[in-house]
Amino acid sequence: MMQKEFKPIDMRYEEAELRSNRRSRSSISRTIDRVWAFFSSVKVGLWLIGLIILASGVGTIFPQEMYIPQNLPPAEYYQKEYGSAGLLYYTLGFHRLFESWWYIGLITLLLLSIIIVSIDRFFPLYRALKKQPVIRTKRFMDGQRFGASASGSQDQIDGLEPLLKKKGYKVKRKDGALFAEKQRFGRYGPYINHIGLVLFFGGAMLRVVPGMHADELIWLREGDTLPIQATDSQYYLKSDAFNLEFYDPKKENAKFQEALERAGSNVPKNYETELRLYERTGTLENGKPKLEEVKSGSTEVNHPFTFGDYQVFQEQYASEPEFISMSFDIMNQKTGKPVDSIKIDLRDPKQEYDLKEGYKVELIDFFPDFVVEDGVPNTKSARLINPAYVFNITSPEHPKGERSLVGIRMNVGGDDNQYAMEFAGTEFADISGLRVKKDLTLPFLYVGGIIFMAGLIIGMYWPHRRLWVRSENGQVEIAGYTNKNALALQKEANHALTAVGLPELEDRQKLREEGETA
Amino acid sequence: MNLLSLSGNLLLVSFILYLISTAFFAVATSGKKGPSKSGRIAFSLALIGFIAQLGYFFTRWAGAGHAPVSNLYEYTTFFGMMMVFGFLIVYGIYRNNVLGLIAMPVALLVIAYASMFPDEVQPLIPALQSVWLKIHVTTAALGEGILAVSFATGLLYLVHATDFSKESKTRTWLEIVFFTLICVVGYIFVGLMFKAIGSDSTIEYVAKNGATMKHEYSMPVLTGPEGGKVLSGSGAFVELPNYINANKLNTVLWSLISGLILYVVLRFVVFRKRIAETLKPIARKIDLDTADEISYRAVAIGLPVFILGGLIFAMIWAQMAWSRYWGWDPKEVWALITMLFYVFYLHMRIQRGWVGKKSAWLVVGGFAVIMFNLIFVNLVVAGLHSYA
Ligand code: HEM
Repeated sequence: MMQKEFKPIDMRYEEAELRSNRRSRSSISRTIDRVWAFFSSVKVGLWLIGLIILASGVGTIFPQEMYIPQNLPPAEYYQKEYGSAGLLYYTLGFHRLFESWWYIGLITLLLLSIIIVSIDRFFPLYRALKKQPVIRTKRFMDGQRFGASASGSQDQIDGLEPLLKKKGYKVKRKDGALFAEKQRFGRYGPYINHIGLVLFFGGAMLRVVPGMHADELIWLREGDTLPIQATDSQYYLKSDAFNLEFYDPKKENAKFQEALERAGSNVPKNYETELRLYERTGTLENGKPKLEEVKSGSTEVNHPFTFGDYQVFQEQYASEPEFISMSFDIMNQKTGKPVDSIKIDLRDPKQEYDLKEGYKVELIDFFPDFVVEDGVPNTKSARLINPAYVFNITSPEHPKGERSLVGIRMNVGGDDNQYAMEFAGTEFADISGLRVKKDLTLPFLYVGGIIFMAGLIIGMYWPHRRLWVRSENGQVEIAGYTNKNALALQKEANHALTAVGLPELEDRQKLREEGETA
Repeated sequence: MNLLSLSGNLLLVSFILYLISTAFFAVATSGKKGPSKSGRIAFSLALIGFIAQLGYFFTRWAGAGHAPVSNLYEYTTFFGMMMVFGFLIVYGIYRNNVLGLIAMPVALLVIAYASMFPDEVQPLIPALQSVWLKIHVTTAALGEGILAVSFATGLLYLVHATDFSKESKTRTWLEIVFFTLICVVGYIFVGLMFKAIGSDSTIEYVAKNGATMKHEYSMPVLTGPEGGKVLSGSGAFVELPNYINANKLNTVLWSLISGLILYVVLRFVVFRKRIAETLKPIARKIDLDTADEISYRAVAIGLPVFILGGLIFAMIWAQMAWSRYWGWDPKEVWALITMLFYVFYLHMRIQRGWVGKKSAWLVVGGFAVIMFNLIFVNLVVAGLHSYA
């Protein structure tokens, strides 16, 4: 038996009228209509998604600015590393693509589009699904993809009711006709996930609101106490110790040996900073802050230290430890005997060190990170990694003093002097790079993310299934609908239909295609 | 026998079982219609192979002391396992042997590809010592594995729907897809071969920033760095300017050359027709609607899993390990692109009626995006995630 011409009905919105199809009379509302129609157009939305995909891909061709080494200006870096393509990349601003106004603009437009398209379709769909008639028109029944028709009796239809109920369908009856439905809420999945998405991105954008977000990198030396600017210096952090542990190829279980050898350099096993948190409670007489300990603990990678809305992350550490003190002996080179010794606290070096009667050491100049530039001694950075000093040693024999430039394995001008500075010992401190963060937008992201996932799962894993059955003049008409997973609908329905002696559902779309190709 | 070598043996066993399973799927699809015994055998073998691979996974976990998903070798192997898992699920629903004939070889290819990376267990750096890492990586791989099933059906759809006697874009592009797959086979072949005969070379050169660097080659050197000094092994055939990574290019060249040779032999000597066309009699056994439907369902099931693992869990981990849930790192960006690509597919399909051929091309493209993220982004684009 050949089916009559199959005219499928677009079931996406249950034939409801969408706001975007409305055309108003007055010119203002017509403009609004147009804007509305623009943003609720799926075509526009898909263009936006396509453009975002393209732009994001471009953003990964070369590393973004935040991932390049800091020691060169970006313009130079991109050219040097990637040639003229790199220069072009930089010139077009792609090195900061994800912060560019146009990328953020695209995301904003996408969000607008999602919001408007969802409003446009949700309400009509909701209304249509809320009040569904049990008895549908013939055009509607024949327009469903799944259906069947056969001579049958009212008893057979009645017999379907308990069978479908057992499968979880809600069954409604009217004048002998039957309407069975399940998992209607699955239809709302896309709207729920769109809302979650908007909440998520909206939450992320809240970061620009003052007070919602704080982010600070603190380089903290062992033993030092520094204010946390992100808390308006209300809190201070002290590092009691920084512990760094490497995998030791000799000690580690044999299984890691090969990998450690391949790696060549040291592989860190763990690093953590032992912290003390202080709150500033006032000012001391000497003008220094009065601090009270609030909390102590440690921060390591993957286990931040938390206080209030803040978290302290163990982010990095300085590869070289810094010097915190250096001791020197003042040697009389003629006798080879030390006269006295001094200890210089590098965090707070004094200008003069008084020694025993008649002797004095003056610190004329100090270079924390010593280099010679154009023949002149200088410092590369403020970090205490390669200290050098210009000393002037006054002694009874040399009341004006003898000068020398002293650094690590270096003593310029000291050989001819009678008195010389000689290293006697050093103390080091490790420096830990701590990231202090406050992000009050996170709850929005959690909620948004959960709603998004819930919507996604509801929409994808709970297909909406419906069945309409009615009889007319001894002819039973059956129509079936599902928005996903046709196979399961057919299985469920056919099971019930055959049990009462009715024919199985046909896939009319397939029949039509086969008719066309035959 | 210790756990790690037991683990290695289990992986080998599973690999062999997958191979035999593929052969049985081939038998099952070559016979006439009807439920075949060989189909059932093929499925059982795949299932046992999968269990053996689970054995590999957990014994390696026990042996190493951490979940084996922390470097390229482990991750890629796991991804192959999840592809098999995805296929087993879909097979359970649709009982389609033809699908096995495509999905199993692709999974085999992925696992064989994994074996090209250093396979010793590695100690974990602090950032990787997190439960969220395990959750993130395993869930993401599961999602990708399920999505890969849609690639297999998409490919079958295209082969079925294409008329190979006429020139068309589909015909050309399908051949390109198969050529790419064959290049992967070629890469694995030459890789194993050169490993066996031992053709390592080391070349020292001066990099852009003035530092002295070394390239370690495992294949004969076709392209070397400009002014390179051979420390061991053979010298370069051609020297290239320094902004090109001569070592990676060398690998790509070998893959292309071996792929090309293999392709020419298959195409002009063995089959004497297009590779895609040789699959046509098999592809015809799955009807177009079924292929289309399986593709869509695989995406409908796989995408939420992928988003959960590859984006949401990833963000939770990144927040703990690096104090920021999102950092526009290339790997992250490509995970976002993967999601958007499949979202694009879903909307195109539902809202703009892209079913059939167009939709099949989209899922093939989606798999390309996944593989791009797995291989290219890890090996070529540097970032926080480049393990190797
Ligand atoms: C990243 C952004 C987006 C995500 C993750 C997303 C996600 C989804 C998902 C998962 C579905 C269900 C699809 C299915 O059942 O196969 C859906 C449906 C839908 N989406 Fe989106 N979407 C996004 C953006 C958009 C945009 C930009 C538009 C339009 C301008 C849009 C319009 C729609 C419409 C109209 C539906 C169908 C609703 C229904 O069936 O009642 N979406 N979306």
